[in-house]
Amino acid sequence: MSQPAIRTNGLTKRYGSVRAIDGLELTVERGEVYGFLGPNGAGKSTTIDVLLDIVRPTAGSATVLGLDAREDRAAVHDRIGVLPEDFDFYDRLSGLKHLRFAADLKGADEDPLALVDRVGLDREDAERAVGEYSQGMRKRLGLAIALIGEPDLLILDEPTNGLDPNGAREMRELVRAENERGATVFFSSHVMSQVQAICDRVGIMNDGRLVAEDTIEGLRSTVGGGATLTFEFDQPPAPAEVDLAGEEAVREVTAGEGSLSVTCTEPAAKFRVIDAVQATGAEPRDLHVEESSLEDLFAAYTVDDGGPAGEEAPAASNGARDAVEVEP
Amino acid sequence: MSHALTIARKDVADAVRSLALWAVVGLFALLTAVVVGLPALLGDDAFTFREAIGAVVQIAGLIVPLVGLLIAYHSITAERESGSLRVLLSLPPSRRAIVAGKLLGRGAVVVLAGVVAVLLMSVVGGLLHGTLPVGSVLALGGSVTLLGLSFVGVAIGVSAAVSTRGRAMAVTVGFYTVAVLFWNLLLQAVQFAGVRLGVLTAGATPVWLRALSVLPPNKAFPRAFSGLQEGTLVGGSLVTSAALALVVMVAWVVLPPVLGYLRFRSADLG
Repeated sequence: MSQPAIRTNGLTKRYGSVRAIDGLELTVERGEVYGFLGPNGAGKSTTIDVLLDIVRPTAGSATVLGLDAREDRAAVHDRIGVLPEDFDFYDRLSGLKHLRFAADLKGADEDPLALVDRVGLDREDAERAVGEYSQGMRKRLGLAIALIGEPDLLILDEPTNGLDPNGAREMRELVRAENERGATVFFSSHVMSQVQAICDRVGIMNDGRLVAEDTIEGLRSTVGGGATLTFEFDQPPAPAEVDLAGEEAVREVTAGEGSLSVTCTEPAAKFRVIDAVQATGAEPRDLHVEESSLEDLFAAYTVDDGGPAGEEAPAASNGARDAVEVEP
Repeated sequence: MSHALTIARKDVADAVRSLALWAVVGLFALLTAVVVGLPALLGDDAFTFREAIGAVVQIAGLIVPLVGLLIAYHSITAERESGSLRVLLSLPPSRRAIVAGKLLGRGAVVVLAGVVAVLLMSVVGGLLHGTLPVGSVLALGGSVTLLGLSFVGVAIGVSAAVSTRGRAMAVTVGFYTVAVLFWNLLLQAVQFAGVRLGVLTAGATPVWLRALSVLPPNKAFPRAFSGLQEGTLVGGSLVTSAALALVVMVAWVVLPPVLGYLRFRSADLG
């Protein structure tokens, strides 16, 4: 049981000349909730497809629960639960029939109605043909299928996509409950806020590589001290008028309607920003300070401005600063 | 194997809810019933039920292949295109179990369809003619279901080998055209060319050419039917025997899915 839940070694998948995954080294330990973050097209779903032996890697290998994803596929799939991202059901069959079908295939004798209740699907809806289901209902049914047989590892690909905020919260509660039961959870998303509340660790993927990996606390301390200052004016100065040349801790200056926003990455830089704004001669009416969030960090890693994100996994703080251009 | 059976059961449960399927089966059943019933209704006593079944064999050789292909050509590509294959592959069944399950499931559907059609024909014919040629009816039932199964086999093989509905349709339509519509013409062309090139003597049909003439399942079907009807499976030469025809048809049930699986096994299905 000591082997990691997921491990990839130099995993590469090429489609023609496109590298969907590029030498991925990923380790997910037993018992953790791992947030697999990245924008759409970063290679997250392809990685999951390789773990599930739906797609065959060009190079490298992947193990799931200590077993080879391809050679020991049957043993792996008996012990995992999966919610795929893009999937469909058999439209003419009811939700309950789907659950019985999946339970048969897993050799689990689970009460389908109990699963229906757990994922918040209406029992009446469960009797209806899946062709009539809404996006959210399909997602809940997919999750119920994933939960069959108390899997050791849950692989959830964009589970909160297509759910309303309430549904997304219920999804997170289920993930937490499954984790407390002892399941490892591998949770992919392109939205930081969906993973930061429940994940022990987060890996950020971009262009087929892991560009950052840390605990949520670690990422927070990276962001720590960063802030966006928003000045309100009757007559705001143009961003170019604010002289911040040579100021390394300033990431961005943007003009809004009657306002000017400056994002900086160090606490002390705030004072220099205020000085620079006042030096333009414009008189601010008000000033708001907003602490930088993990979302900002995520954006910094995944905006394709040619920063070091495509090279090798950089120290988080450098990546955050360099990946976004400073507008003069 | 139990995975394949579970998939087959689900597949049948899903397929029998398809209106299109029942429309095609109903059409075939109606057609056979008309062929069997119409002469009797018109008072043509010279045309017996047994002879009418002979006419049904002619029609079945054209339509049953279409039914078999229609039932199965989109069976695996549909799951691939919609993404339900992703759900299936996320669960324990192997790719082999998926292809086997589809063959079993769609095979069961075509057998069901064949049995329904033959039963309906028997009831209509029996009522109008007042007799029931049991041997002929059983021979028809057996050979028609095997014919249906062999085209389901072809279609499953194609559906496993290609990635889209369009390709599956193109290949199966091509197969139907060659095997059902143009096979005799094709063999005549081969023979004609052989004679012109001096490889074959005019007027004589070599054994290999006679063997080729029962290669498509729809060509093997009438021989299988008459062999079953007369109870003479191995009479005459081997190449014209009903036994060979039956072996050919069974081979079409099994071999195309195996070949299709070999491509499906190594494909990226994401």
